[in-house]
Amino acid sequence: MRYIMIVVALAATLGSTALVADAQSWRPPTDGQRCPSKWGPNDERGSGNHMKPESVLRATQLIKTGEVIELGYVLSGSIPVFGTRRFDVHTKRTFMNQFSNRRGSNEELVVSEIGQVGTQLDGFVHQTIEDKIYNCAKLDDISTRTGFTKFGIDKVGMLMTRGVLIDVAGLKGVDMLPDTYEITVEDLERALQRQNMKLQPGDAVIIHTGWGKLWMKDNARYVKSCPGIGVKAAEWLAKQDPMLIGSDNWPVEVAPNPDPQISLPVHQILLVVNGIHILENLKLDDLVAKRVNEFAFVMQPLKIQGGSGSSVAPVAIR
Amino acid sequence: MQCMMIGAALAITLAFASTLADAQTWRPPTDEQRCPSKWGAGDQRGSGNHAKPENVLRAARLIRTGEVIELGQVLSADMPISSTRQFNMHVKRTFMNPQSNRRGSNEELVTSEIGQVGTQFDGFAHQTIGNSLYNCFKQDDITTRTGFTRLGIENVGALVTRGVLIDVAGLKGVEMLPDTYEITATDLQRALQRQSLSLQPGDAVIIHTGWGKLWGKDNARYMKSCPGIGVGAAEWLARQDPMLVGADNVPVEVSPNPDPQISAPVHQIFLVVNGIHILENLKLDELAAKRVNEFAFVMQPLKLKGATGSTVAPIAVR
Repeated sequence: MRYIMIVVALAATLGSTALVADAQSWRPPTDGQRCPSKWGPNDERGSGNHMKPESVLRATQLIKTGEVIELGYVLSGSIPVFGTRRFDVHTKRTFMNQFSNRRGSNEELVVSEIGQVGTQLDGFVHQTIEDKIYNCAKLDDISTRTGFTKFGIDKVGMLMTRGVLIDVAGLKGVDMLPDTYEITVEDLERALQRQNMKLQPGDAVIIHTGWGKLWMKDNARYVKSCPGIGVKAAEWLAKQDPMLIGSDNWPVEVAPNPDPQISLPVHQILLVVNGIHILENLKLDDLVAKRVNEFAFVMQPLKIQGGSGSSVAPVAIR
Repeated sequence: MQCMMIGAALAITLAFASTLADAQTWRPPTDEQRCPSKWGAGDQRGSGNHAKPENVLRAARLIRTGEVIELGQVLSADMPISSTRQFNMHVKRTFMNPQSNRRGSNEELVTSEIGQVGTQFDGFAHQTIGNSLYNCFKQDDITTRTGFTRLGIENVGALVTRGVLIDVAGLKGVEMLPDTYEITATDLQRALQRQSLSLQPGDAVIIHTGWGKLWGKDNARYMKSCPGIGVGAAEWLARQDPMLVGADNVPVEVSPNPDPQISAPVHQIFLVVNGIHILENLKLDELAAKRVNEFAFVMQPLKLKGATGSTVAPIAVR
């Protein structure tokens, strides 16, 4: 009897520990919970489905002065990159043609994870939950040596829609949020309120953390950690139904996640669970300095067949 | 005396022969004849100086339905490519993170002359006359192992302006112009007349030859030669002061040039002499089929530091 009671007590303790762990650590939803996608069982476009004539017209209506503000960083061998990623440029002064007009030709060989360096759009093959990606497609079914047979970044096309800057650094009255600050739902709501703005379905939502100030100034600190949205803010944003979510840091989300049990959960929430594109390493200094909070957002991903993403040079136009 | 007369006759004959050669073979202007550029000594932007709010607004006014037509070809190892250039993509299914949320990550290493493959935009470091580039920058002064210190494609930024399709294949009533057909200034003028359009300074001028029908179908023929503008048409176009000149073929110009003494002279006329950007390998089938002759043209070159060009994914919006 006493033995049984001990076992029961032990089981209760273990069960309660498990419950506490559940409450603390975000867990990816199961296939049954997340598939099919709200865009349909065979959908490959996710939030890219918001790209349609209406979103283009909505953006065009915001073009009033014709001023273009660049949101992409210059790509060079000195940019911050991750782990074994690289961006190498080899100048090729190729030849002087042997004709009377003395035409010389130059080009350059680039060796790079070109889909995942610089200012950069993530497609849906970039991230998985276990062996599955967005809409529960199995990675093994779509992988080849030279790209992915479905969900490639070449399927995205140009994205043009209303852009909204959410200036969280501005809300907090700082140039740059602290190194591992987790942006909350309340932060986003208060920042929007301060700007007298509301999100609309299909927006390009751009979050200003100020972390971009470190780009090319302190690359080691830039990639070591960063302020950004956490799980709750990501889930709230997903419910707003945006075309994409971008930020002036490397993973859009806070890194490392405050919960040491999980690795970049917002990547999974946005790319895998909800099929929402992520736009990383944005250059937001001009946009913020000029207080341009609403604008036409225009971005042309490269059509890399079967690619996981694309280095991009997006702009805001007002 | 007789000797002198023979000598004089010979001199006259030689001078006459040399005049004939001048009339037949295009020769690049000297540095003194072409520099400084009309955009000013030291200018690096050339026709990119047309990128300004007025042209953005001129383009925005042409957006009526919000329909986007893609003008970029998909990038893959199967596309037509010049000699030793390459587009190699290596999928990297990188790792499964050890944390509880089971986040897997994928990317790809691309090895390519990324500035000079696919639908592709030429900057001014791409071509020379002897040792001299646009605005008489000297090749030896601006070349490094990792790029060019002047005239790099990162200086260009997003180009948004009125786009005009000049449908020369349509004018001739053919799907595709013949293999080495030289488009003349008269062809361009008649095609514009047929479309009831005139060019304006700062336009993106897009020439439809039909040659793009071979892309991915008969790459060998696509690369071997092509119809396109000749010297006369290029000089006429340069006087119209466009932002860029593009076509659905490899070099925009007729290739090989009908004059066997010279190699791709239109490259020099546009890029080196006049500082006008070139846009190659456009996908024009949809634009031509829908008879969209006037549109908002939008293109975002990658900001590759010090590079000769950029692969691009431009679009037309109407």
